[in-house]
Amino acid sequence: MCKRSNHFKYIFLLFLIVLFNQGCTDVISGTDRGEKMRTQRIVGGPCEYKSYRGIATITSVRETKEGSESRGGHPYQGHEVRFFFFPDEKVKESYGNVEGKEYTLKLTNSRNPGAKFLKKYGIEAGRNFECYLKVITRGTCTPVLFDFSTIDLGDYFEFKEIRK
Amino acid sequence: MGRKTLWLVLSLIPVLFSASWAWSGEGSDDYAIMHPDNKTRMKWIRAYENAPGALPGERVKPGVPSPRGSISLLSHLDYIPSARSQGSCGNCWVWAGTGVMAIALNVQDGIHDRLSIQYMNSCYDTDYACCGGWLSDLADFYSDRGQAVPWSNTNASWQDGGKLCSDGESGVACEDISTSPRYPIESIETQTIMTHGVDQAQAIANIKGVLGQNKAVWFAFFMGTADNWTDFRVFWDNQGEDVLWNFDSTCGEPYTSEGGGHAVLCVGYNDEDPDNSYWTMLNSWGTTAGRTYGFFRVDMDINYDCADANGEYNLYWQTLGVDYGTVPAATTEAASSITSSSATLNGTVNPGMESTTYHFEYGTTTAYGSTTAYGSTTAGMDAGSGTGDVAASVDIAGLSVCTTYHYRIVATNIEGTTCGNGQTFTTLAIPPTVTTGAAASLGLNTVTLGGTVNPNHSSTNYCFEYGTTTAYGSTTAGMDAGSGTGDVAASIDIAGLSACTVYHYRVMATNTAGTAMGNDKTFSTDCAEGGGGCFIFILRR
Repeated sequence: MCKRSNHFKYIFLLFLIVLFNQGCTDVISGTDRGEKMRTQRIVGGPCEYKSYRGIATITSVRETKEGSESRGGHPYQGHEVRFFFFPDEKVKESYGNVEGKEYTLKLTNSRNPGAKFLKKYGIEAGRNFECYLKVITRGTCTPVLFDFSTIDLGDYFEFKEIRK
Repeated sequence: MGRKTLWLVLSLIPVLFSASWAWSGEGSDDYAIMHPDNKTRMKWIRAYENAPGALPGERVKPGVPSPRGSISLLSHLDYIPSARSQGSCGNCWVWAGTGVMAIALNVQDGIHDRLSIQYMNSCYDTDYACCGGWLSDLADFYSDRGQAVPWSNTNASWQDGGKLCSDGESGVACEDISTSPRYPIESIETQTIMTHGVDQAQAIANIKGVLGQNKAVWFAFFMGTADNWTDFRVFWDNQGEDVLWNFDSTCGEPYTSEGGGHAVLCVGYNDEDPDNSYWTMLNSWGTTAGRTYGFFRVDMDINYDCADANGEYNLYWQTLGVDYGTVPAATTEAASSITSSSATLNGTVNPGMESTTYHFEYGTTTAYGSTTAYGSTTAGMDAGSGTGDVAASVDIAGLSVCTTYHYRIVATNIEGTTCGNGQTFTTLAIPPTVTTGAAASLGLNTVTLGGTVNPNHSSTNYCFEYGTTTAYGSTTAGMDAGSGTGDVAASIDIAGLSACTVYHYRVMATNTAGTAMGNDKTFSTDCAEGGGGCFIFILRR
């Protein structure tokens, strides 16, 4: 009788341990019935970039169609500024190959610059500007970005003048 | 003791087994992208599992191949491809989710407008949006806020493109973003499209079914290795928009510290060609030389249960059930019954099932966006709470003659205010008002005639008629009295008159509305030189 009682104790102990452990498992693994969800991760998030110094050569400056810039009550005449980028060193990342590709300069607020902005920063076809190519190395943000040393793309003075 | 030891060993086996299973999905260095705490994780589980199916009643239906065809919801979305770039901010999930909302706004209310991404970046206080998130986070945010904001509002355009997660906060303060105008949201919730645990045909049919309801799809995908992402970035950077991406090579791969997740907006599909069937995905990485519109295509023939080496699914398809509140519709129409001082302003209002009032704003100037610039406002009128157009009209008086007025109708209900289009009308002109004045500087043959002329706001000329009878017969040259609203002194010198003669005269003025004539008056020219009088005096003596 005594031995049988001990057996029941061990079996009960085993049952409790398994039950307890299974409860922990559910919490830790984050999985559940039916659909498994990637609860550990989210989309987007931190991004890291590697910078390559180089020269941006402005190839063209053209007025944009009035409609695209005037929408939403922003009536200044925008300009599409196109440029090539020539890095000082070879870009290692295969998706950061900018050779022979033309890019568009945009203000940080996604707008095309206006005439006063172009004049303020001396942007005209044929001019060269120091520029950094930023190539993503981690994360899921826009893979290729440009950073101009002498052009403040967050300088919205022209836009604010219009707003007044 | 032997049996006890045996029982202890046996009891430890499941313990160790369960523990190892639990830990296998939680490697401490596996998830560099994000390490949410347990509370956040549980929130995610609840959010995903509680999300209703996007196709109620069809979640577990046996798969039946859906008819081949194509759908594009792009016409419902207002976007500029090159400006649709998240930059270094990891908020792809906001771009994709906001796209779903913008398409729903157009489908429901016919409003074709870009919605602000910056609004959530600046006002989301749970975390910084650049640090990642999920569609349910977006739904929670907009559910709390109860409104979406147009991109064109003050400070609402995308400005965090140069920000990183590590910056911790937006470059634009929430309170600096204008919420007028806004799009009220009555409800918003995530909806899961069943693609896991069903066969490929059913998964495809479910996704197509949602797109077929004119609802865009929020598509999230995970890839676990640096090589996976390099391949995808090369694909993005170097291929054209007609090339298909297939996720199958990422299935079964380990999820490493170089792994990550990305969300994009699925706006359509084309499976007319069985060998080239695809989903159309709008990315938030701007454009490239080969991607004018910022798209990429995903092969439809993929494993929708694709999972990594740990069995975690790689592909997620969700959408949003959005119910926009209905602001009233308001249309300003042409004014009627226009006189020189009054008019009837007209328009139509659609209350959109909410109790709605309307009024008109009017004035001599216009500056859209300001409610006071029109100068005057009519009293509020009731437009009811129906769903059809209601004729709206208000009489206004006390207007200036011959003046152009700007006006518009403004309708308001609990969901918001709608300003109708601006219109103009011009009050009628009236003839000038004239008064014949006195004659002065009388001579034998000359006189200066006077009077006043009020042009009554219309360009007016005046002259004098004169003669020896009330038929007059002579008219002076025309003179300009301007177009003012007050009396203008009118005066003219006349010569060549007969001496000692009674003349009749009056002032006459003309503008576009007609001619007005002053009252008749007379004067007499002198009869003789001063010596003549002296001669008469001498004769009398």
